[in-house]
Amino acid sequence: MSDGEEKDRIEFLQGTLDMLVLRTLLLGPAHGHAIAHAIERNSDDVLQVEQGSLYPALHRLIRRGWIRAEAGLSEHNRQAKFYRLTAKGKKQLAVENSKWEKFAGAIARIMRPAEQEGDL
Amino acid sequence: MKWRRRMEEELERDIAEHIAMETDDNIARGMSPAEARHAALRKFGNVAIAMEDTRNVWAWAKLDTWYADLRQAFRRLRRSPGTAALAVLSLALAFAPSVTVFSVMDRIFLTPIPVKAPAEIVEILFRDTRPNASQKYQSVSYPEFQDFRRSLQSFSGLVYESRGGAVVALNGRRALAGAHFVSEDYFSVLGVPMRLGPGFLKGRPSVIVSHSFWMRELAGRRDIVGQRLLVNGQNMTVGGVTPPEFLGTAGIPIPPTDLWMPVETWGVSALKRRDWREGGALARLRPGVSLSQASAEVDGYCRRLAQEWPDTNRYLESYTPCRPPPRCIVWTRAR
Repeated sequence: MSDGEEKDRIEFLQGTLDMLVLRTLLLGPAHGHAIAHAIERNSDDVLQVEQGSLYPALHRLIRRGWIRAEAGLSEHNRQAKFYRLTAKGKKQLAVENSKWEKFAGAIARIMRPAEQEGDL
Repeated sequence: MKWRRRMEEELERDIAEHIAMETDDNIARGMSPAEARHAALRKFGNVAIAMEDTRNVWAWAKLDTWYADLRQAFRRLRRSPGTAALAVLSLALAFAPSVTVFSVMDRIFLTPIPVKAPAEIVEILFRDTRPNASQKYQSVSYPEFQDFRRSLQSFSGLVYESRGGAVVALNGRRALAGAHFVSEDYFSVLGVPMRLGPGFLKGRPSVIVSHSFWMRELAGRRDIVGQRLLVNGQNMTVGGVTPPEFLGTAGIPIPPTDLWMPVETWGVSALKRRDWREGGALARLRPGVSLSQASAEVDGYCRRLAQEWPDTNRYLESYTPCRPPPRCIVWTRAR
């Protein structure tokens, strides 16, 4: 089987994929395939995007006005849809970011004592 | 609904592009083209589910705007109760007739098999009158179908269909596909418009592919019409793609139909045998002709057939039930 399946994969929490898509698009507009790959690469392949689930997520973000779709040409000169972060989306990313930091910090505070006590 | 259609097409193209890019990447990583495409599909996951989930997002988007409108309307109505009462009354009066019309239309037009005016479609079958017959009902052979089509006046069109399988070569891989062998005017008589392409081509062997087969095995490529497919070792030109909601005429489409091919590709001997009753004959009632009038005509014609072809038709009388099959079955299929 592929090495993706041998590594410990991490399932996406509800809404996390949306946040990662916004974060990826902060670097500039990209098409769906590039977004999926950027997420995988930038997480050292720990996060495997179920690529099919990317499309509902993209359309959800469009609906909320956080990203915009526009036509363009891919690197292989093919017609492809590019997704771009809107001003509203940039603001939302800041919100998501601080929410995430709070969340991650809280989890870390709960988990740390267990490690130190050596109960694991 | 135009908006919806455009969104669907764009999404299809987007997903097809995505899979094509992944395939290219895999080839660049050293996989064979067939392997690369397979891996890309596996990585993408279920295309139908991805599309369905996206459609749900659109549905919610519409609901959002409706909800905003509704709240606005209620705020206004509360300010002027007299107008509100008048509006409610006129709405009630307006709804009554349209509800009645809708219940009638629902019965006639909204039957789930997505063919034009499904209530006009009947199936022609034989009933074996011998008390110890092994099969009480029999379908129709191709020569019998041709006789029907030539002689019966009650129908504006008749089509023939026979279920089978076919081996399709795809990127060096062979796949078993559910195939339907049909008469050449099948889609026009049933009133199923092609999603893509003109339909069966005149003068050369052609094949129509189902929407799901097109998305799954042919990458949803929009330039697929006119391309060659190797089906049962024969070169066939793709003439069209069916709309996604058309899954064939069977009540329960299992196994799914992937391809429709002209019945001529079925093999000459099968086409000539009068006792080879391997197909169904579906007929569309001419406007103004009732089911009982049509059955009477088919009955009379079957008695003539029995005299003309005593060896094969002596014990058979006609049976023309309404198609499509009962709704409850169809609904379980549709959802």
